[in-house]
Amino acid sequence: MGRKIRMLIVTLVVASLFIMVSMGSVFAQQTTLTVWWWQHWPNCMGPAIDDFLEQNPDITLEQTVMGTGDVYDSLFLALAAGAGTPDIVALESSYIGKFVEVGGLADITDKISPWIDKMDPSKWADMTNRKGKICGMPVDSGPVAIWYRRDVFEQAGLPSDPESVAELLDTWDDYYEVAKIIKAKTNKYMLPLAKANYDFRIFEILLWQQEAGYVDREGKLNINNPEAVRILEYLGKFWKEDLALDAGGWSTGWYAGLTDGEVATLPEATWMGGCFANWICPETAGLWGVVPLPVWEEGGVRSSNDGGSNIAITAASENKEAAWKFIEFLFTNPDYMIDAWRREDWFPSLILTYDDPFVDEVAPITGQAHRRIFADAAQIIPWWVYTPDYAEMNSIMQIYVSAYALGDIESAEEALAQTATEITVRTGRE
Amino acid sequence: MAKQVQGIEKESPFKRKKRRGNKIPYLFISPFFILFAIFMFYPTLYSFYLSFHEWNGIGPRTYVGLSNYAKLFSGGGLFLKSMTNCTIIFFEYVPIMTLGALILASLLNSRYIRLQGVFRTFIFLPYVTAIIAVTYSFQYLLDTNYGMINLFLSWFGIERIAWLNSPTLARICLSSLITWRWLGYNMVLFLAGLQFIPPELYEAAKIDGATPLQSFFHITIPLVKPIIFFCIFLSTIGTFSLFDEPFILTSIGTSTGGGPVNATLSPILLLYNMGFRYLRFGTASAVAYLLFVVLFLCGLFEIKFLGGKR
Repeated sequence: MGRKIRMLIVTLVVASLFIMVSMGSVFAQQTTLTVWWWQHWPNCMGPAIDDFLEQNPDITLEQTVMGTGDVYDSLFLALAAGAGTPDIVALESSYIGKFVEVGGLADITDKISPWIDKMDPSKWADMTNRKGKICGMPVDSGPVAIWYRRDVFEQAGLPSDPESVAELLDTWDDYYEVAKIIKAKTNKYMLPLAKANYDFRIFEILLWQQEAGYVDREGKLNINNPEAVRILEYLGKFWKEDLALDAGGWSTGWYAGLTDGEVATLPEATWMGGCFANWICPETAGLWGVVPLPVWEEGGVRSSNDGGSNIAITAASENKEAAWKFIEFLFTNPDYMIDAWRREDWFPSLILTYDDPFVDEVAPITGQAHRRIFADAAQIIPWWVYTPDYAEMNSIMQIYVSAYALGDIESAEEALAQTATEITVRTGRE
Repeated sequence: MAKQVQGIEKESPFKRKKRRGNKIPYLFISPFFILFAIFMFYPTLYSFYLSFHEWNGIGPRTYVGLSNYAKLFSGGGLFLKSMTNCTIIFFEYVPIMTLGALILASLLNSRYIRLQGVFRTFIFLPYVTAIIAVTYSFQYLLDTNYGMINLFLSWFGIERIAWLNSPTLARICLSSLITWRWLGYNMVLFLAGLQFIPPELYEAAKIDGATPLQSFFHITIPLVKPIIFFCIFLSTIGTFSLFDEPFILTSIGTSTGGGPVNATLSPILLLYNMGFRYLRFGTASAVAYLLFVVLFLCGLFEIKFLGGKR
């Protein structure tokens, strides 16, 4: 017996020595950075990644490209297991808060400090933890304007050039009047706005335009305020008078509606342009136009935000220095960010790109310099925050707003009061 | 007593050996029990412990007493809502499906129909189709604006129907999907049962002048009763553990499934959302335990009132 055990120990020692030596020789020369992100990132950053790897021969990159939701699921499982997290991970603003809260992302406050005032300021709130430390790097922002179909406006006998349409859609009341004209003249809808099975992100866009939202700056629940009631009642008119296409965002009907010109407008963020041009409806190039958001009252802000994404280093990463080097190289270089903007309308959070002559170039999808409108809008976004509870708060809002849209709840005030109560019960937010 | 003691002492060397030998089979069946303990028994106990705590899956656990259970009943009352949904769905599809399966099985078991093998295969096919593909296909078929079903109805002048955007209709759509998928499976169960009915009974009934319908009601149904009970029992568990179907059917675009207005929220979907979407593992565990209690009671009820009359 003793001999057998001795043999076993010797074998194990030899084997582990061999593994250690072989691994050591690899790590002596090479740092391998693992990155999890979705298709959009390698598409946009391809040349930048090539340059980085060329200039840093000691670093190799292992990219895992998955669906957006899969990135979050995998990251959560890896964090819960305490093993297998990547060095670098991409996260949308709507989801980064949750991972900051559970402590999965590394504090990069010191490294990021030179860039703080050079980035879209509204981005920081969701990636700052309770101790005020920053755990992520903003990459793209989602300033919102109105995308409209020139052909539908023409069919309705309305002017279709951006200047005239901007005048036509000056206030949200004007927008509603135009919706009625378009419905009467062409039998088409003003916008896609489902009554159910929809995340109602447009409601959030309109809230943030008014500096409202789920919570206020102190994190107190704010969904049940007069502005929100007014906005929901406004959307209610589109449902009741059949002025909106009953198709949820990113569904078959929604894509078809946008492609076929069943809808005249879409109030949505800048990145929509990339989606139109690259995969939803490339055949509609030149048919779109962009005008700034209508306002509720004269002098209101013609801007809001929807989405946006970020890059972060995980807390467990053993290559934080190399990871930061990679992030700084890619996402603070205006040339790379403008290249990404050109490729997929990926709107940089890096402010100094907004003055580049590229922004005033005419884009094929709209036939106008629409990026200027978004660059201007990005600098006046009132305020927004998703918070770590976003997924849950959004799902609760979906239920009651949907009940209001379907007529199960009579008043907008009641729908939002119930939303607020449910959020308090579930998340403990007062 | 004395005799016994004597006896043991007498046989002891042999018996001891035999008793030790008896342990070997336990060793052979131990892999199952070890795996069961690690992957089933321990998690079951642990989730009971978790249901009294707040835990995000990564950080520390805080004891919160019964508040996870209370949470499920206050506000929108999500647990009751999900149970009500499943009860409605159960009554929408189980009677139709069970009766349909029985009728189909009797027809396919009889001599009136040719190509029985072909029909059996076709009716059974939906069951072996991947549920994800099936559900997505239903979603496309039922699309309000571009779905085939509304297109078909429009040929008869019927206006677009928002199938999945109305709570009542969405539940009916879900029930139809389940019926379509599980009909074949239940039919096969009935076929197996029917083949055990001795043909002499039918012959005797025929000689006595019974019509085929009479023999169906007086011979077939009473004799396949245990199978009917078994099907209903399986359907009960199946309905309350629905997940894939509502998760996909109503998660249109970027909306979270279970809609509209929670009309197709099932307890398991609620559990999934609580646990993996909102990272509230305590509440998710509470859902699991509540569901267990309800299913246990349902099972008892069915055994007592449906199975007992055999």
